[in-house]
Amino acid sequence: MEIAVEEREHLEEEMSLKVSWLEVFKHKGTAICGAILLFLTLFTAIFAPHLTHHKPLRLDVNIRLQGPSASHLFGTDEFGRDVFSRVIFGTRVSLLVGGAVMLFTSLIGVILGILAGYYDYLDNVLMRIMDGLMAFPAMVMAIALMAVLGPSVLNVIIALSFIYMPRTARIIRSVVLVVREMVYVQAARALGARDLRITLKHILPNCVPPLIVQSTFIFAYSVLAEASLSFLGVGVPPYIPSWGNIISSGRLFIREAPWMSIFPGLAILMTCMALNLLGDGLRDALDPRMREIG
Amino acid sequence: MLGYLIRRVIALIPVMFIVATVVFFLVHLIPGDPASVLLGPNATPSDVMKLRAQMGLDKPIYSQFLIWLSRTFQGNLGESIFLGRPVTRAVFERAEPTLVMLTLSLIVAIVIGIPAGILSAVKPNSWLDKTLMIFAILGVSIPTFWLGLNFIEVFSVLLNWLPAAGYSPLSSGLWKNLSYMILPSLSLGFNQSALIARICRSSMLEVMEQDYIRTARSKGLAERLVILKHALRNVLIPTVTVIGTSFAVLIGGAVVTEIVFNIPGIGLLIISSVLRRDYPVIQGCVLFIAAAYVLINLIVDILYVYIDPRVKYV
Repeated sequence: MEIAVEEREHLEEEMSLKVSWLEVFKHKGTAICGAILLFLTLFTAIFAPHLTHHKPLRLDVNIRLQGPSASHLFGTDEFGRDVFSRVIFGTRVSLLVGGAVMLFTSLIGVILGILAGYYDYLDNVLMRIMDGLMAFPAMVMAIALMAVLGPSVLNVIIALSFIYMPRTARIIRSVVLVVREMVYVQAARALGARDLRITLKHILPNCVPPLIVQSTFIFAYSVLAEASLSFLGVGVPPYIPSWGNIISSGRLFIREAPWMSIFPGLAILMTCMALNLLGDGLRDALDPRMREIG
Repeated sequence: MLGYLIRRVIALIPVMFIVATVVFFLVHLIPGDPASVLLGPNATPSDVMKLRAQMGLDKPIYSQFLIWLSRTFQGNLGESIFLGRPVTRAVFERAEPTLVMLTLSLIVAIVIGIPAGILSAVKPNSWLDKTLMIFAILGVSIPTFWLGLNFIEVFSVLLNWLPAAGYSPLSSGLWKNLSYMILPSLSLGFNQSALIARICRSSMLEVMEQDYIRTARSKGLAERLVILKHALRNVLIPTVTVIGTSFAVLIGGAVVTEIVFNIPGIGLLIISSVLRRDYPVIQGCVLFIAAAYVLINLIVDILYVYIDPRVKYV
């Protein structure tokens, strides 16, 4: 009797999950805003060469430090490079880093989280290691890793994946700890299902909603962190136009050429806002338990 | 309480051990031989051998690790390669500006964040709530270093109110110190005030639904007293947790902010050490910061007991 009730409750839960996928965009104006902004950013990244007729790397000292004009919408930098085209191409770096970090943290985080949540004997060891890794403030750890690895896009991705992975692992673990006690998981085990089958069929699907929410925020953190690292000169190498790099050189000309730092900053702000709005909307719809975490 | 405290401190041992391990192996991640990387391409083989011996790199890795570990727990973090002095001294010399900035920005974050969160929760979905929450979304999306640059642009370049960069030690007078610290602390703290405001708002909304709030209202208590005396204390519990995690973000942000405002703190020390490949200093700074962060979280856990008497640690 009790089992039946619980099962029905769970079924309802699962159904509400499916419905809420649509509900996200129906009821959440902010989530739609976020999705549209993000789509625009993605569009910019893909069609970057078609959106500007200037080359982001082309130097022309005759037009250095010129203010915004019709031919150079965002002005030019200290080498006469077109800031608009640099910002446009910078979108690629930011989205590449954000997307790759999102992918890697999800992949490793899910594996470690499931291992820790499912196997008690691994839980303690893995979670103490995660605690240890999370004892480092993220940016400081990222800087230290970049100091060792050296500046490159791939190394930024590696460093940021490393520092954000423990968060995902923890969240997945907490989901697994709840789900593995569910009656249907125990029923599956009683029927003789193997660990791998239980994990893939019963546990993994429950991890998806919190994972999507978490990944959206990790995407936003990574965009900000990549910009910060590049701004500090330890992220993406200076010859690649990235938003952080553009602001970093703009900083030296803050008096003469404020446009060099204003526009790439706005691009970061817009992208992160899009991701945060989307993440908030997704969280409200997919994972009501997480709402109060902010 | 004392028993809880002891248990919490004991629980820190494995965490600090892992922290130390990670910091140790950080240098061993350098591709190739750290000694020759440190000395650059022009070093003679005998120089490299000397540095290898000095760094203990000629010993097997487990004994290197044990030596490093015992030395570190005695407070000896080695010598800086460039500064010609012990790492601990270099770190402590640079600690003041960073600590002042962190404290001030934490104050900024709390002073803006908590009232903003409460105000917007008192009348949910009002124009005030919506405006404040738009600011909160802006706050978590804005890069701190860019905000700092804009502050310099407006308050130093255009208005000429505050110095654009630099630092004046506390010993040279509080006001002078503050004049250098206002812009950095505002740009660093704003971001976290947004986070605190959001947590504060959502936990306030939750608390206002509780039975004891209804009771307080129905016995005729003024709304102001209901909020300040009955709700606020309960709102503070999740808020204090966030302030703990906020601190980690603030430390990371401090590094970037110190570069923007050219403040000679630990952040500037880390970055200049990264560019000079002064690995002992990087290791020392990272270890110092991680230890400080772990300590802050311990303090936050202890604060719980005072804010929330229901929390009994068994």
